[in-house]
Amino acid sequence: MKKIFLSIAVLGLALSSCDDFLTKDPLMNQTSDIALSTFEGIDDATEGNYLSVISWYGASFPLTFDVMCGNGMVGPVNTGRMRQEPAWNFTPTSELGLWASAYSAILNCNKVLAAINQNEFTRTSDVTEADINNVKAENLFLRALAYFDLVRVYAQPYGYIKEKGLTGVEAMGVPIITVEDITARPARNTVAEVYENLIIPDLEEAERLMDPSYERADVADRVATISTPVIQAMMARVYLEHEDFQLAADYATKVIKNGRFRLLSGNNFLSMWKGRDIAPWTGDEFIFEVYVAQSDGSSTALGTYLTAPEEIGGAGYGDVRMSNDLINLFDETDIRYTGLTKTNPRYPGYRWCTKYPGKTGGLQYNNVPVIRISEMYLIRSEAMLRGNAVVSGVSSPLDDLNRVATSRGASAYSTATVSNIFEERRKEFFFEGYVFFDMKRLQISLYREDYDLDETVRDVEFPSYRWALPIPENDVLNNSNMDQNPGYQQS
Amino acid sequence: MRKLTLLLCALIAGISVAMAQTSISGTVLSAENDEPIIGASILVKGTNASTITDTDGKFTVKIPDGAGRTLVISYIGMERQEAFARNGMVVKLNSADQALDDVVVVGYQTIRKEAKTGAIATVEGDDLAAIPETSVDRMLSGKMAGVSVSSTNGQPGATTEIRIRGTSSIGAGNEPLYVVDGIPVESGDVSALSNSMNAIALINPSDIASITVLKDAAAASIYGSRAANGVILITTKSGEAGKSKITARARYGISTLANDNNFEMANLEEYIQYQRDARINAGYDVDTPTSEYYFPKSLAAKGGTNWLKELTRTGNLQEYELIASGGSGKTTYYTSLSYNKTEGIVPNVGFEKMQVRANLDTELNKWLKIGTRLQGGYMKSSDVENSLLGGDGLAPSNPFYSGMALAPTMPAFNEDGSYNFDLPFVFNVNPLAAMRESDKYDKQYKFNGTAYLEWKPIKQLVFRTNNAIEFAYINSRQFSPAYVNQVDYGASLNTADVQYRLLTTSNTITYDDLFNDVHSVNVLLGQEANAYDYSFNQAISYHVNESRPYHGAGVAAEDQQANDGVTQTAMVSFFGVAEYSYDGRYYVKGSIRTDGSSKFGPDRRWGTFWAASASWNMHNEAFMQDIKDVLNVLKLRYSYGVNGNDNIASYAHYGLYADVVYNGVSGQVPAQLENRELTWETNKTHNIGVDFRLFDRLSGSIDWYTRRTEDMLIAAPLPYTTGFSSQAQNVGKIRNSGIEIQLDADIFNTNDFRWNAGVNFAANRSKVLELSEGQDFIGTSLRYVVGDQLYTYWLYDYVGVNPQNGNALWRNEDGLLTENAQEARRIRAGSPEPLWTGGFNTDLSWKGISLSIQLEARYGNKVVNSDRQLFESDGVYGDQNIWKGALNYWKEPGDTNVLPKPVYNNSSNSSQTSTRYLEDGSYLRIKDITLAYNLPSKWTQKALMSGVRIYASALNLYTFHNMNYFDPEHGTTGNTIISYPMTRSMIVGVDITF
Repeated sequence: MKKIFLSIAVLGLALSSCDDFLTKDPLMNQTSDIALSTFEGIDDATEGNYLSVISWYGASFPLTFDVMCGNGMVGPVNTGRMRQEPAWNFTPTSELGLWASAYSAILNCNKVLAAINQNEFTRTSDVTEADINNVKAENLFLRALAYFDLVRVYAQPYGYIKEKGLTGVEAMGVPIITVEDITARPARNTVAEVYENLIIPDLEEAERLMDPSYERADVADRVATISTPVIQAMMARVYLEHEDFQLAADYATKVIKNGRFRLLSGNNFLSMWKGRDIAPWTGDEFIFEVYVAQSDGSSTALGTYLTAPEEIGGAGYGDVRMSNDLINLFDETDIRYTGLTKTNPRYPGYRWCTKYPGKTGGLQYNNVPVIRISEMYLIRSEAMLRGNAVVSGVSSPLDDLNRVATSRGASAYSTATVSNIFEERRKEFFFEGYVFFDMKRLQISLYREDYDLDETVRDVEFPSYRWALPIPENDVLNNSNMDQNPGYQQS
Repeated sequence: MRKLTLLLCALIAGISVAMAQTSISGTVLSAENDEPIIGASILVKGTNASTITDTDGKFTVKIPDGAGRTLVISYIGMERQEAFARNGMVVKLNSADQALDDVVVVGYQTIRKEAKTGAIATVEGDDLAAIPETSVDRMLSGKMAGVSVSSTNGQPGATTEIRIRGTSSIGAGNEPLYVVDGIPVESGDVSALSNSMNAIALINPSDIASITVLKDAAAASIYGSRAANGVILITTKSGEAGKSKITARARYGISTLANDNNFEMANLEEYIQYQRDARINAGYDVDTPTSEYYFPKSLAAKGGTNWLKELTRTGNLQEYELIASGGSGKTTYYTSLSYNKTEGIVPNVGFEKMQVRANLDTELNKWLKIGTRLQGGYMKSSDVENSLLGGDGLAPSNPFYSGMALAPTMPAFNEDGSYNFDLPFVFNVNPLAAMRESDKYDKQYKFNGTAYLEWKPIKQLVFRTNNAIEFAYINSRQFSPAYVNQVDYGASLNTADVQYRLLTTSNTITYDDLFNDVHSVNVLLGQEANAYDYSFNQAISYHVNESRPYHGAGVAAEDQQANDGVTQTAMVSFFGVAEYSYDGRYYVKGSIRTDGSSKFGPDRRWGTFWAASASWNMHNEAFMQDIKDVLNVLKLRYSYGVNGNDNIASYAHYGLYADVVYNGVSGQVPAQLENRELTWETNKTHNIGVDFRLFDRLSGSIDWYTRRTEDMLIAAPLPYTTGFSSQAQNVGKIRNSGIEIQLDADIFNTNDFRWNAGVNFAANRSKVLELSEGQDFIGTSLRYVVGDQLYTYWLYDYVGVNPQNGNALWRNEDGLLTENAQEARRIRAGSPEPLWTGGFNTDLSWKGISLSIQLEARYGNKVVNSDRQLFESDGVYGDQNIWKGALNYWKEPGDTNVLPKPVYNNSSNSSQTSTRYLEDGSYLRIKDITLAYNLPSKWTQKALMSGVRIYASALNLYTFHNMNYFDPEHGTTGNTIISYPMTRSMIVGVDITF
């Protein structure tokens, strides 16, 4: 009988402690409700938001778009990767992946911005209003960057839409989402709306909020952080795309005049690409880069894809070689050709790009440049040429164009034309992910000589539906308000 | 209600008719040999009237007025039997030994088969041990109706997919619950670094007394929350008092790749021709030596490599066992020791296990019984670097990928005998070197221990407490020489330690009583709780010294990585079962269970599940007695019940941030969406069944069921614009209904010659009733479509080849032909679900010789043959080899019934996943044939042995199928690629009993 009482007692005890027993909180993660409840958490989440952009700056931007637009071709040795991309073989089910990555980054920024705006987080006494504003500016910048990249990839270019007066699905950008809502099934906003209601106001607010002396603390690579000139340089790029030529020139000038960045030449320029772990804070060309390091646990495909193995078992996949079309643009004296490309004794007749030579740990660790100072000069040149922008102290578009060309040891241009500026940008930024967007902005068709894949896409005229990539099938299927771009399987 | 009244009237009428007679005569025989039983006792149920049989086994008994007409016949050593009294009746008593066969373990209890109300299938341990497979799940294949065992690969020690009555869930687990000796155990894949380590493989098949599969809600509901996918109850053997027995077993076998359709890769000449044509079709010059694409026919002269042959070998398996059982007085024991080693058909792939078991039971006194079930063991799964499933199936060091993909023009060795590392197609990883020089294994050390105590204060009441510990430690190592790694990591070392612990307590009170000899009542109340704790830590080092490959201290941080993880879950349950039966004819049973799971949030954590069932043993009815010689058993069953499923990741309801590092600083990113409403997935099942036995020869069961899954736990897809691709939600409904038939016949049953055969058949039909609101389907190529069956293929509509130019032709949305692969429409193209599955087994024995045959079959399932797709991809993969069937390609205008022309580095998408690769996955497999000989006892007794059995088996002897691959099995959803193929084994063995 005693045993019965004992059993009942044990049972009773078990019952009362059930809820404790059944509560198993995750030990390896932080739950969302507490993650953003402190300023420290908000700051950590902001740091985390920087990481999101590796997913596209780590491969699709510098590699995929250059391979699509004639800068790269399938190498003589390869792993079968990067073979569909030169043939623009994108479908709603086999697409770029940027859409999902960018919207994930946007959500992450929206969550932090919401937490800041609600202002219910706890903070230590040393946290100032300026600290909060700086973090807010970083998130606004990252969100604008994600939208800018989305609208440049999944829509026709702003200038073309404006020029032709396009409406309907042809003028569609991407949905603007600024609050977290998993039930939202948004329709696409127009390209103009994405620029005018989100990207430009976000960047303007970021510039206004950020303390010009602000630098994110304790980081390994300071150039991989958002600071006032980074925001301004991005604004110059965005204004050019939005055809606010004077503003583009003004903001490029602000960055050039900042003094931190310098156009380099000769070995100074080349040593910049030698696989250094950390870019110098001043006196360098890099305005903003994405930091990729083994010690962070991050990696990028750029180095491995762009390098062929030099010996048996050597590193590198060799999937992407430089195309002859690109090689043929260079002067023999151009250090971008002599110093940033190389041959491989095992594969005579081919050249490989050495902008991503790998750093500590191997080929798959390379910082990825996002903005360099040379772009500011070329933006200004284009703004002056196309939009008659006025820049004090610079007499003509040719000045800025040649400043870049001659610093690289290339011969100077005699005139500044759209095609010269495009050619210079192509030589300057190969495998940095510019060429596709330059062609779209400048409405230049793609003609390829060095091409041996599907003949039907050897040439891609502008305009063509192909310049706006397909929306992932997932979002068309799961959101009845989402329109697919013309030209693709409509699901 | 009216029907019930009618039934009662009929019963009363039957009884009143019976009252007219008062004296009954009959005969009692032994069921074993039809000899009369002398001195058997005959009792009129509910009275004191009794008699015993005479020397001819005959009896006459007077039935008092007002008594029922049920006789209770009993004899020492024989099973007690009840029979309806009628003149000239013949009662056959079974020996008490056989009576053991008539009970069935149903979860917390053992019941007589007579009393079952739910859908239950049982297989005896001895039937299993005869199959030379290494794990229990594989042995169940083809054994029971509605229990489908699918393999995704044939690697030794690999797990299988078991589906009981179809697939019930999209997002939560579909595997059944395994309960060993009353305690739920860990199952599934517990590998750390190797491809596969089957948790239940440690259970020694010879130790199994019986396996019961609880299929419907009524049978399984006592396991409530965890029973949605059925329950597999494994009971291990106990000793028998007074019968000491020692058995030694040994077996040895060899295994080879099973390739019954002669799936072959192209040989050297065929490969060269294909590559030349592919290059020419791409516009390249193959005959000028300076051309980059120079590929002359003369390449053949240099000789070639049959890579698959180089990489495979004849495997072997060996197994040794020593079993001792017996007991004296109140204590019995069963103990076993076994060792098993399988060497795969690829060097360095293998599986090894050793285990020891001790099952002890003792009756301390009349009221107290205690016992333990202890098992300890070791399993080692060895693997080839980077191979096969789980990881990247197309890794260069996967011997089956490299074996098939590598160009036959490539030499495996240099002229000086060293490995050839000039193999750019596989990143210069010579698969032979990778296979032989790499070192990769999981070693699992495991203990399962259960101790129980049974207290029987009075005859009707039993308290039982059953407490168990299961823990495992897995030590894993993966060393890769520098040349195996594709990037410049140098030699690398990856080690992992995994440990888990599962504590279970299960406590029940059972009340069992019989009133007035006809009212039987059984009530069980219970409580169960378990706590699971899992952790792992892992270290990876690069640039390790190849001659001393260990993690060294002081290596640069970039060269070392460490990871760890912790997972905990807990569950608490309370349950009750009540059963009432009347006179061995009518049974009703109800059960209820409430479970709390840590996997759901505080407000949604408890789920209550229940079931009700009834059965009617018609053969015990008066009106059936006249035909009882023909229809020995006829039982009708019906059940309905609700079960739950919480088989999802541990912390699915939390919104989570995960730690990351960026730019040398730690940060955090959202990792999972919160869903506070997340709760149990439920399964509601109706089951109608009939059990019968005819002419004492043919017995069988037929069941019809329909099972509805509601509130499915799905990673419901979200548009990416939400920032996530999915959220764990309770949405949607699916239905599985089907029919199961199981028949067993004793065709001949004489002393010298016995022949029995069994067949089982199951057909399941699934239907997706509902997905998330507004959602018509999930998936791309393999879809869940509302209104259609669970899995359907939606593939690009491939039509054939344009005879003019050799390009692939597709049909677009408008039904028109196009050569543009991007315009191809998707069409519904069949399902990987079989229309029916079945099994057949037969045993023939004549004197000491016996032959047993087992077949299994699956019919009507489609498979997208991604293995063929890989090797018939029209040149997409450049220099990769092709299978022989790919040689039938377009060569000149006018060619029809051909494959598209190959183009070197093809970018036309002609090989996209389309109807072109859809094949019929039906098969009939000769699973096992065993020929055995029991040496005559007059010989063995001279050697002090009580029995010697020698046998030879062929496992997976032959498979009839139409797939263009080694084996038709491609898993439940038909989606495997380049996995370790199935093997055929030839085995000889000997069992000696002392």
